[in-house]
Amino acid sequence: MSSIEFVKLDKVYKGLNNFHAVKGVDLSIKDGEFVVFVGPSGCGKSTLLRMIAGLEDISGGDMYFGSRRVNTLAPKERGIGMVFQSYALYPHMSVYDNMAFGLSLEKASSQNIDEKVREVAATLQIEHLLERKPKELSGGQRQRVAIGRAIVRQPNVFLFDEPLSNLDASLRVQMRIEIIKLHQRLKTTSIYVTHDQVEAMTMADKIVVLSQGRIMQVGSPLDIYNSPANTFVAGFMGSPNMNFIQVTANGSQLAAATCDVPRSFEVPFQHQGAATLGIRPEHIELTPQPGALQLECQVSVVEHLGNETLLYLNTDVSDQPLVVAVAGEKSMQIGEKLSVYLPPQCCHLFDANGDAIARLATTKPN
Amino acid sequence: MNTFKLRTGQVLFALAVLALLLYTIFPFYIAIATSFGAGTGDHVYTPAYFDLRNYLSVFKEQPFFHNILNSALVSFATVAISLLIAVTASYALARVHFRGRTMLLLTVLGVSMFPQVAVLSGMFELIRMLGLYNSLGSLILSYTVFSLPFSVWILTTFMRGIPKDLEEAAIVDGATPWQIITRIFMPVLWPALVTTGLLAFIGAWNEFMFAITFILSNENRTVPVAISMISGDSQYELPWGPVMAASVVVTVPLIALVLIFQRKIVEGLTAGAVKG
Repeated sequence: MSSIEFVKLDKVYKGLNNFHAVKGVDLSIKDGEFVVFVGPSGCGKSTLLRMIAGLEDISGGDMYFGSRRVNTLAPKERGIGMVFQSYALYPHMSVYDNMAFGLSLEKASSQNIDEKVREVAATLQIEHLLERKPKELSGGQRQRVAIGRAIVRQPNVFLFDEPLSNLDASLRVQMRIEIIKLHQRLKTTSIYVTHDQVEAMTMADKIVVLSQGRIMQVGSPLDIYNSPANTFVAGFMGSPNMNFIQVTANGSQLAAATCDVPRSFEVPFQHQGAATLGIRPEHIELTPQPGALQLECQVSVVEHLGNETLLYLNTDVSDQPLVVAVAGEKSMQIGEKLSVYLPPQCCHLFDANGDAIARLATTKPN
Repeated sequence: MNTFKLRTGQVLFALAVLALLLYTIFPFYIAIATSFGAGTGDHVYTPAYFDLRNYLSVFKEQPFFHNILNSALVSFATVAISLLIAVTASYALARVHFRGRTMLLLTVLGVSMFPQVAVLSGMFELIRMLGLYNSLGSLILSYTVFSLPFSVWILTTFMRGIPKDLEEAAIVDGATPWQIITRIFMPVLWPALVTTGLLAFIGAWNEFMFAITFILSNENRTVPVAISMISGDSQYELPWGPVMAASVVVTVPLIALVLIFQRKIVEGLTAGAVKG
């Protein structure tokens, strides 16, 4: 068990263009926490994980496990267990030997190894597979074995590098739940890298959103959802994506920037000048709301997902279609005109740099 | 009409197969037939009589058994040394990033393109300097030099095909580079090792030019040279019978090796072509 602390962590890939993969990351992870690194491809999340594992050198800054500085320690001295995206099981070894490999390198007694391997196999319900070779296993079983191999040495920190991305959708949901249960039982500090925001939202105690080698926001899943720190986080987390409307703010009055007809709108923010108004598709209402901004729209695309219906609406306040998520089934004709309502307590406002502007009123978004 | 077409096709195919078989097997057939047949130069397609005289004379008239042992020793030592060096070198070339890696790999390939004659005199000086002249060590050294580029090149290609995750999983499990090579890479590379090892073995077993240059005494000769030294009753006679008998004797171990490892060779030559 171990807490982890990053201080101004840097990673530069030496080469022709010195790619700066991780830029001054500060982060502290509490003992026993389940932290998810999420971000688009190339944001540095995997590099950061590999730096924790010791598979990548640290170019600058410090990393601590507890009070121990681990910058120069080899992976095995850090006490980590890692699950790879490709599972990376040793193809020539049986499941048993795969799990026992790390222990046998530590020169544990064969009785001790046997005990531990069988215990972990029982936890993961893979006892009947112990004698098989990896190629005789299904994807989900391989994933279990890979997790078992990581657990069996009782590491201080678990690292998961997009472990579920090779599984099909239903198995992914099932394994997701199992990993959460496993964490609840073992309470080992875990760091989980994914580009899947559903995994991030459902699994994390703490989400770290990364973009271009920098931390965009750190917070609980609901914090990230309810109060995104900037337009990147607001746009990245949530599906479908948050709607953004370019506006000009004058105190608490907003006017659409692209609209020929200036239309003012009272919001619980104070700002002057250019800004971006953000609202999630699921917060836009089709029925009149007290104090809400009314927009006239025309339906351009309707997507029926069964549990909800997505409407893509053309408006005069933005070039981008406004996306509205309506619960249940909703029959709409293409080209049909309708009014939508933007409740001010659900709106987010970002300044010209994309950073969130603090909300004035005490009303919380629902 | 259709059945006629089919028939002709089958006949032509059978003829083609027959021609191919004749073409590939005929030289071996002649060798075996001659070895059991007469010892004179007149080739007969079927042995006039069948006896083991030629075989006995091969072992009686020269230290041929000794020659076979020499060849075996040289070949096995060459395979062992070149595989050990090739595996470790290819690990570095495939897995460790360092400046000039590609350059080094191309140099290795370039070296293997020199004809043997070109390095013969230089190699001779080297052998003399090391005091290996007329000893089997000279052959082991020179064969290793010639089999290494090829082995390194092939193993590097195979080693590159091993997923990086596999190595990193082993690192996380606490394996040292040596343990990664011996406990993860070598088992995974086993078919490739067998293939390169066998090719190095055949190369060393059949080599002639170095063997005749660096070895002086009859007892230290390897098989190909010993066969060429088999002489007849007069200088005008070429003793085909004993020569063929000797050739058959030394080909048997090779065929046995290939048959034993056949499945692995095919695996090795095609591994990585399709994801398994």
